[in-house]
Amino acid sequence: MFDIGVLQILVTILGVVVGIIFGAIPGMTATMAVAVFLPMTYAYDLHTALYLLLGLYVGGITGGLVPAILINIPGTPSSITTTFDGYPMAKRGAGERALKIGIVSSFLGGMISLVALWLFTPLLSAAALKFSSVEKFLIILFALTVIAALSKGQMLRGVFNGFLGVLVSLMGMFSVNNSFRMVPSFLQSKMQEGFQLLPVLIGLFAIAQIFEEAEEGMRFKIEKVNDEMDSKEKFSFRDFKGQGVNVIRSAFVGTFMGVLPGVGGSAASILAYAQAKNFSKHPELLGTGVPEGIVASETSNNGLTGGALIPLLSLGIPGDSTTAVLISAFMLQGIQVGPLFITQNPETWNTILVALLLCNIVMFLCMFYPIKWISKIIYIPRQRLYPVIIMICIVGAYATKNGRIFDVWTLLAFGLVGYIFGKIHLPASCFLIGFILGKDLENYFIQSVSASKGSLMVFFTRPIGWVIWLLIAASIAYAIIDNRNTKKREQQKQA
Amino acid sequence: MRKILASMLAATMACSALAGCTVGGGSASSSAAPAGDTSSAASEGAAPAAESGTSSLKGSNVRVLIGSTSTSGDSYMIAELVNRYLSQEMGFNGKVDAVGNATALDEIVNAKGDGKTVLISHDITFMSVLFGTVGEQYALENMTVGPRVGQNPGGCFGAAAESPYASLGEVTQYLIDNPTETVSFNIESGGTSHLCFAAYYLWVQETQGDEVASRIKAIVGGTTAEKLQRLWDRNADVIYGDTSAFEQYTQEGVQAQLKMTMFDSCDTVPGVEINSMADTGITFGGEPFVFSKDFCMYFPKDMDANVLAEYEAAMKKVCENADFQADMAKLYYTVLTPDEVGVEASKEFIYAKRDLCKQIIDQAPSLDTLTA
Repeated sequence: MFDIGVLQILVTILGVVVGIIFGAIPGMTATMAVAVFLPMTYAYDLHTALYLLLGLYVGGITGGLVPAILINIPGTPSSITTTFDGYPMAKRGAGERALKIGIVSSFLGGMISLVALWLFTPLLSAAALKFSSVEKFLIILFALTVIAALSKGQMLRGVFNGFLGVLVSLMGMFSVNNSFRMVPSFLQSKMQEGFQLLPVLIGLFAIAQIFEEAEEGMRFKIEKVNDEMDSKEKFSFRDFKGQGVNVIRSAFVGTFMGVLPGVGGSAASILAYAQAKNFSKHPELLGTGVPEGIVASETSNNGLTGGALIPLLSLGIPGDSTTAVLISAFMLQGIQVGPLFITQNPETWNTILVALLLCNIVMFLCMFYPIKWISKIIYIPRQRLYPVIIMICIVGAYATKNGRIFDVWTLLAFGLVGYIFGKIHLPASCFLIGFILGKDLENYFIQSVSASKGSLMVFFTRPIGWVIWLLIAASIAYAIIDNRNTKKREQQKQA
Repeated sequence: MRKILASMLAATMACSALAGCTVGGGSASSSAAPAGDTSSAASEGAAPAAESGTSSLKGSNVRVLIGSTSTSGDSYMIAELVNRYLSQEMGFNGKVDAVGNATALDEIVNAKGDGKTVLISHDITFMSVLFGTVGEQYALENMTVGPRVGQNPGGCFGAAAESPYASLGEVTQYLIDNPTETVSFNIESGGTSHLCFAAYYLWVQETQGDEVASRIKAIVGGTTAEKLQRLWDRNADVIYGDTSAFEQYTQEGVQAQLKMTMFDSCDTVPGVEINSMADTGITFGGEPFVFSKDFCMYFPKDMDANVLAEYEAAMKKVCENADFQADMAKLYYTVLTPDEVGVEASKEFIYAKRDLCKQIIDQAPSLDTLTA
């Protein structure tokens, strides 16, 4: 039926722990962890290798929440939205609670996506096939509308910075005609693929923040320390009371984004967060440090794990960058993943399900109980913590493309850009969302338009497209109303 | 005081990290003796790696760059396989780095010639220069061609099973019979798919005229997975990829939207029933068009001749290793003979192949024309 034994359990623990470490280091990702360990899998049979690699995958995706919550630096691109509420909670002394909410949410997201993988793989892969480049373009456009929702009373600035992010993401060589766009000639050898996401992300979040705090003299203070905390700021499973819909919706968003190849984990958490805000009874509280935001973000990015395996195992195409590496493990063992994989390899299929279950359980156990010690990082004086963070960020940036000094300069340059954004009140998160989604937006736009021989009507002629257009319109309308209300509230406060 | 202390600590940490990250870091080989004509020196030198696990690189870390960012394509598979056997043969610790073509070329031309950085890549190494994807500073003349390591003859074209054509000959006939129709080909710019597509385009232009050829359109970009999705979305009519990647979608039991036919491989693929482009009658310069992906080692221009000779000798031994041959066959890759692997023979072969590619590229229309 399936393979499991002591060796498999041991490699799962190894994989999950190493994955968490990779995820927690800014610049290191689950994809890197899987790529680094891939050659090791020669030593194992396929099933044991899968326990190791899936452990790295689940651990790597989850580990990103630790720096996102404690030091406002997303460990992985998909944990950007975790910073929105996680860090404010950590600042007011509720870091451990925020981390535990994140871990439980990640576990729930992973389990729900596992159920989806187990029961609905044929159904979901068939649905994925109905999503052509047109629908994918519209989904990314929909995810971009979150920029408006995140702008908090300064929509124009947010939208401007979002589009600036899209523009910067398009720097590099345009693959259709091999021409460089917006790249000075002396940088062409380094910028064929444009700026790498991770140095940009870490620069905007970590380095810019360090610049800002250095300017202020690093007088960061936790509002309350553990002993003074009231019971409301300590974790309890009651934190999930009333979050059922949020959990299921976010897990579904994550799983489905995973099912759609080429859409990615960052889009999943951005979309889930936007929906949590849209459907919240207190949308104005999201972004100020409420569990709802962490639940949405972390449930969706772990929901991706099972979802991304669906197209890999049923269609032969990876759902995200990590499963793209995972495909090699099968190929190296001479097994072809694709439409006939599940019927021809039932034992491997069952082993994958069991391995994913084990990985999620191990991830929960390895993170939930020791996290109270890790959460103490927040109490380390900034002047001691920041030098270490700078070093980790530089190493992470350097590792992005397996050792390129240009990525370190990118990190520092975007740190400066982020610092300037702060000075002129342009939201860096909006820039980053635009940057993350920009390339895919262009890619699917070109695919759709070239397939329709230049006609833009292709975006308005497909039924699934109509539904997404409605969601886009609703999201924008909501953002405009929310923006107006926020401004009113601010004016009332000032009055 | 705290601010000064924090600044000093941060600066120290940043400097130490940056120092470790400098390009070409690592210990220099003081014994390295760059040779002017390294390839001839290598071929003249007696094979020094007489015993397995011994070489001047024994115990060293060797970075094996590949010209792809994918770890599931043939570039990674061949490089990983060669690295595994070569590491045993020469006693080094090799690690394959999937950095992509532009980065790999930049790294290899700027690396030290001590053999601790090697590029294992296919024809994209020189084709990307010919297509203008990368600059002339990455031309073969600015690096050292090392031993060839293997061949992938499996590049082929594929179309949806419901398509009215199942070979390139039938695509041409379809265009002749339907004067208002176009057929789009999804290719990767500057890659082997671009070249094979260009050869087909030129053949149609030569045999059927400009009008028919002008209705063959290129869609550029994408990995094999992305090309497959374009085919399933019907956003591309014909895609180019590996027979090993396409084969499963041709089998019974695959759902209709995914089902495809594969045809016209660029070379003969052992063990796969498929007509080649030459079988279809496609020619270039009056000769049947045959094109396999040739994987070869590339080193910096000032490569140490002795180390190069060690690589050559070790690679010859690897090619004779039955386990290596079996592993290559499992992936449908062709193993070369020790004579073909020789540095001088490899250099001659790669330069001749570049000349052939240059002829095709010089005659082929630009991407702007093909995608218009």
